[in-house]
Amino acid sequence: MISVGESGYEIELGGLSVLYCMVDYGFTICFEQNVTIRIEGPFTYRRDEKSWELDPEHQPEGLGPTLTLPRTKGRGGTVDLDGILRLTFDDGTELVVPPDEHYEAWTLSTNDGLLVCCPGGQIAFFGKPDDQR
Amino acid sequence: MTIDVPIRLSFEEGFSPDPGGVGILIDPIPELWDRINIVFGKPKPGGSGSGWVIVSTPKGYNIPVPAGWVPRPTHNGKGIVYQRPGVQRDTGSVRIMDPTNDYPEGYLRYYNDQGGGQALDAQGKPGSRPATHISLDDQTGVPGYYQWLGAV
Repeated sequence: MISVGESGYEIELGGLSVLYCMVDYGFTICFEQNVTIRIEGPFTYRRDEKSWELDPEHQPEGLGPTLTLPRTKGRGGTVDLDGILRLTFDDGTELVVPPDEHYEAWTLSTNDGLLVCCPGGQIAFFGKPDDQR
Repeated sequence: MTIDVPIRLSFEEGFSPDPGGVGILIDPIPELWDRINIVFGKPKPGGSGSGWVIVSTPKGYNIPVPAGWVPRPTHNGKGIVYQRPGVQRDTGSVRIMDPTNDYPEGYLRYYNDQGGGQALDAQGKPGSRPATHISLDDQTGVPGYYQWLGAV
């Protein structure tokens, strides 16, 4: 599901359905098979040729356009060397999350391990438990 | 190896005596993040928990995490996460991260069991990013973290 390449990480979501989204101080997208993407900073959301600049931490009321996500399936995504996360969904929705200079911007949890976009955009990759023992 | 040296859990550097302390077991796990961990044998009151592990950071901060939880260091040496066995997502986990420009002593994030894991602040409540990135030299004592430790 997560593979490492020369230009960053490749994320294969393989048609996993979005089960639900959660809003607290961040925005969490929960897929099937325990795949979770938690966004804590500003991000760009594109659907139907429209684009929104969203900020779950400071403007949660603006997250309305994302309410259609639980009716979609994940397609895949990339993480580049600067820490920018890009995700696509089967209805054409795109999501782009940049890194944050001061705080973690996003985390991606899968059965392959955990990716964290650290302050400044460096990526920390925690493998699955079986990798360590 | 069991040593009867009472210590006090703290984010501060080093240990200090505590009359109410318990025996400790030193459990080096050198392949993990090159840290030396110390395992407590103290169970939860009335419970079956096995106590805590102390994770020593490169700058000498000693962070208690639940014993028996599964450690996973990063592949690029930026931190370590401990998570309750068998759970998924961020649920039931604590992550100790290396220093950054804003957190020169390193920082900690810990998560509850709600909605795949919500990051908690020093008082144990979900909060904003500034509140849930807890510096390892935090001066508040991080009471929420110790309540969380006692409950897991």
